[in-house]
Amino acid sequence: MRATVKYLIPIAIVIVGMLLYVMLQVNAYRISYEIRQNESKLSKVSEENKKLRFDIARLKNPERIEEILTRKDISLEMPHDINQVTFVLPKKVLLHGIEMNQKPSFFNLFGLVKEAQAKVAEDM
Amino acid sequence: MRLKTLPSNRFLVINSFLLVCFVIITVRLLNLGIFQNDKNIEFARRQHSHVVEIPPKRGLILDRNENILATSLKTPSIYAVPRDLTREERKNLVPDLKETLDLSRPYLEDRLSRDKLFIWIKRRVTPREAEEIRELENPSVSITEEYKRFYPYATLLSNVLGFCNIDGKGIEGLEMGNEAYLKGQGGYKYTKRDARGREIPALEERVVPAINGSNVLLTVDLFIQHVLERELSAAYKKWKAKGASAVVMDPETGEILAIASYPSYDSNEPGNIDPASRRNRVITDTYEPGSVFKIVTASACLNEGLFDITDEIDCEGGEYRIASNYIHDVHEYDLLSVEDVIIYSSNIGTVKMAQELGSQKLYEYIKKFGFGEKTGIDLPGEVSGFIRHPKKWSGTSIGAIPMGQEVTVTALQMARATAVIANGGKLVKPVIVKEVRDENGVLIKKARFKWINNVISAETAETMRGIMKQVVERGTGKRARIKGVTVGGKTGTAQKVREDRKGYSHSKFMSSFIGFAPVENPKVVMAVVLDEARPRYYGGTVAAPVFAGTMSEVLPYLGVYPDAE
Repeated sequence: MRATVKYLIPIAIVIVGMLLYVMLQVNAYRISYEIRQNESKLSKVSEENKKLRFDIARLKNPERIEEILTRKDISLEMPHDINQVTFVLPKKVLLHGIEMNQKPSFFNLFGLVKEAQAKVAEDM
Repeated sequence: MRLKTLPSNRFLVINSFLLVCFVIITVRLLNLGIFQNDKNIEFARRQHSHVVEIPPKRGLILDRNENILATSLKTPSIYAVPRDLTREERKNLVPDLKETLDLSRPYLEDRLSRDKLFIWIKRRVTPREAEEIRELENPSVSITEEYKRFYPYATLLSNVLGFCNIDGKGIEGLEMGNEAYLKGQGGYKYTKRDARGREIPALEERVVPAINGSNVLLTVDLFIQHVLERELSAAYKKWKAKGASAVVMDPETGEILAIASYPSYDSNEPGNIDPASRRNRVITDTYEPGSVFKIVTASACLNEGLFDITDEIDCEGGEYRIASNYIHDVHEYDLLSVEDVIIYSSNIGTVKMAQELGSQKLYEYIKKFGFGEKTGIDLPGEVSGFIRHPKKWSGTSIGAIPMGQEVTVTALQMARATAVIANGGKLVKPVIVKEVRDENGVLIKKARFKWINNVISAETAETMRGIMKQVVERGTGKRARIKGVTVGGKTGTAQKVREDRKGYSHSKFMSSFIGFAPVENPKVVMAVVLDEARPRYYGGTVAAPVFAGTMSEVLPYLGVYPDAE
């Protein structure tokens, strides 16, 4: 009995090893098929993306846009006179009569003051 | 239970039979495994090994702001395996294909009756056609995908972009000129396939990846191109011209911002277009420029210090004799200043200035302005134009060449000569391909903007700009005026040489305009040419408005706003 076990154990190890090898091979094949399938999907999606980009380009065609504007009688034209307005930022800004400090402060580093001003502006 | 024993003779028969079988199998195995070993290994290799070609993707053509002008998309193509078809199947298949793919019966019968394993039925079909073929569910007719070139803006820049043939090879325009960059290099992989014929990626033996084509970035601006084409197309139709061409260029760098020719075509459907419509006339068509060429004569005389702009020239009351020929002015002038000679486009005044300069010097300046040779633009099909050496000039040549006769030029050469005046006297090399980058954005080629030589001094160029400004303000180019912007220009109306080569036609004209704006710091130069405009044909009437129409939109786009005053 003991002698039989002595022979059976290595045989079992070999068989298990072989089964493991086969399993790994099968899995490698299966995964490679999956990879190829995903590559194929990626290729299709990229192609679709290219087609959509092409469609965007076609829709952005200035000739087409002008045609639509003409058809819809939106008589856009180039501005005749262009006024250039230069804004000079004052040193002190008044909002609701409150003087806002424009000097850089510690809180400016985190954008806190900007946010507060924006909220005030929204309230207006 | 007692087992029955077989009779010894029956046992012998079975035993013998098994022995024979065993011998046959052994012989067969020996035959397959040893004697036919090489053949079978080769057979198995062919059955399992698989070489997959990896086609390269053709590069994109983009404008200067990376808008796509040409791209390649996968489209279905239909093929058949005629060898698999029986006569009956073929007979049934022909009407289906004829109806679905709109092909003729003799064509289909011919294709399907060939003894081949693969034959194209129709390439680059529409998705709808492919779907209908799929619905036929005929195993002998299949669909594969191939790349096809598409141009989202269809007719826009088509004479410059060109097109590709059915195999995706550039055969015209930039597609052909940049074939080496755009086409890429195909790859392949050696792999195994399973019983179903599917590729087994895990058994990939060797992969040589495809190198996709590089992207070609142009100097052309989509918006400027659109505006130019719209204006030129309107003039081409309005004046029933035989052809029209125009080019917009940056005078400092030589970058082509827009370039257009008419008649034109849709690059997506180049099949049935006549060759005349395919030409990029800006570089392929030469013409006698007429009065626009006077800027060369005037620049040369001023640069040599022979005249001051206030010097007066006797214009002989409108008629002047050179050798056996008489030269006429449209209007009769007596004394005109050098400035007014150009402003009112006096032929006699210009010729008298050229006589003072001399034929050799005039020829030298013409060459220095870049005429009689190719500009070197990176577009295929450019021609050089023509100017004879002074030794071959006739007695009347000095009366013709200074005002743009006996010399042929292209619209691009005229634009470049205008750029010399606009940029302060330097001849630039026109460029249309700004960069070539591979698909990962790595720079492969970059255009070098270079000045070829100094043609005239900066002072002469400034004087000429002033004169050309006056041409637009009070001379023949009034229709090129743009409110709030200073414009410089020169008109030209040249008689065409008669078809029998016996003198000039009185009914066929080349109408042109060259100009730049703003005069103080020119951002763009432009040349417009209309071939056989009618019923009106004066350059100032038919070509100058194209300049004004284009520039009034292009200048604000480039940040040059009209003065409110």
